[in-house]
Amino acid sequence: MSELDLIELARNGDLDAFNHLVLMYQDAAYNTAYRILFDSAAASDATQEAVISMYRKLNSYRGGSFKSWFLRIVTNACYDELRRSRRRPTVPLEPESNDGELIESPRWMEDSTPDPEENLADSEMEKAIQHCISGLEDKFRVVLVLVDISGEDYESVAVTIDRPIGTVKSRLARARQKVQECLQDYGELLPEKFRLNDKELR
Amino acid sequence: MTRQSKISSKDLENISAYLDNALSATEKADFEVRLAKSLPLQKKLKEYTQLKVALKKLSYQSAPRDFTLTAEEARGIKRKPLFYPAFSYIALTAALLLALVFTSEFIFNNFSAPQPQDTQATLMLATEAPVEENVAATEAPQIFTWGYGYGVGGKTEGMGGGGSTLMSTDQSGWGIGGGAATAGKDIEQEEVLGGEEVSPNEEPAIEDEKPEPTIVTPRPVVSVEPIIFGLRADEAGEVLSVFPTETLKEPDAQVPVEVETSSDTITVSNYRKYGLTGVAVLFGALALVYYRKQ
Repeated sequence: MSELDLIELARNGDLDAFNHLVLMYQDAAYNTAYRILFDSAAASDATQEAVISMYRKLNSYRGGSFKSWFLRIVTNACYDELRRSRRRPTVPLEPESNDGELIESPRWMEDSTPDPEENLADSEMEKAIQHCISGLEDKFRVVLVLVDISGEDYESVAVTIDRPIGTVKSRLARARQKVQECLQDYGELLPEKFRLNDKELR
Repeated sequence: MTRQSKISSKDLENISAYLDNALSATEKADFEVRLAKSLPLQKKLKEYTQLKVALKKLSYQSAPRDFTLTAEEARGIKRKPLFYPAFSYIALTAALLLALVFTSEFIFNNFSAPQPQDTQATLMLATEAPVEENVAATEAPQIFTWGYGYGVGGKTEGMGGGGSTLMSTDQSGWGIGGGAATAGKDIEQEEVLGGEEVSPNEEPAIEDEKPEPTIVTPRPVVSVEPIIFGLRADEAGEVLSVFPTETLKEPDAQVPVEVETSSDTITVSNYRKYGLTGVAVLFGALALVYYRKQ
């Protein structure tokens, strides 16, 4: 059964068809939410909210990419989640060092999979990138995640954030620039391939 | 090849869009020409490319659980009804119409030219005329002339100034002509009592100054006490020196004073206003309720 058929059935109240659509896109939705929120529980909440909202608004779907439409709802749910978390800041359960700094990789969170060196490098890099993404303003982070992580095109993102394509371009450029500068600050922590050799440009 | 390290924000946008293949053909050609000549642009493009690759390589976070809905959950979720927007539009339209009605009424009543006063006097007569008209129909029509008093002001016309034409031939025309209905009584009194109540204004010489005769439907004959505003027969001679408004300070309870003014003829019916208000409030409330439910 095609996506269009499923959508039509879901609009007519077929819950199985609706759930089929959810299963098709829930990973993309959760991944996007996670990269925006950088918190698995919050990402789960936002995804669930987005699914409920999608069920409620299914009649207002007017064609086009269903995935983009769903991701738009997810993004809005993430915005809501961000606003909520700012109103009610939470205390992290992760352990802190003696000087109050958060210990980012406590032993109980370590990955136990084999090939620790490679994993460590990837993990460090991912952590650095995610840290830099998290440091962005919401409006820049959302555009960066939608384009570079979720793979949405500029038009879809423009619809999602309800701004013209020019705004998407400028926000994306600024977001990339900020993340890139942030990653440079990590310096030696980054793998070799992420450190530019200025000599080659001279 | 230039080595200028400063890259404008526009160049950053172009690099970013070039990386995503989001430039138009001409923009792309122009940018590639500039890119070939500029080392900083090349360097930045390389950095952005690496970043894009790194972002793509980020681990894909799969959903930790299924987010499907159960039948029970789905029942608990109210879908936005299709008529929800209709409620909003109807409420908005009704509110706009109501605002339009009030605005137009305000403008019309405040900035339109006033109606001629004799038209209003005619309206009053027409309003009061149906009273006891059976007797009047049997009598011959009488010719009444209007004195100067009829045009004194709003109060005068409201009371039917000069309605008792037989007695209002002087310039004031006031003390006697109280309202259209009263005028009829006065006329009757003149006829039945044989002029027992002598009007101080009854001076034949002034009749020559009457502007033009007007045919008025004869008044019915009613046997009631004469009602003359502020006047008694024995004081009639003194009244001439009294300013008219002094005799009208206290309205007589026997005389119907409520006369529909001309402004009522140009106002929108209150029923329509109430209706529009009701529609606006009702549908606005419905839309609000649905909005809150969502």
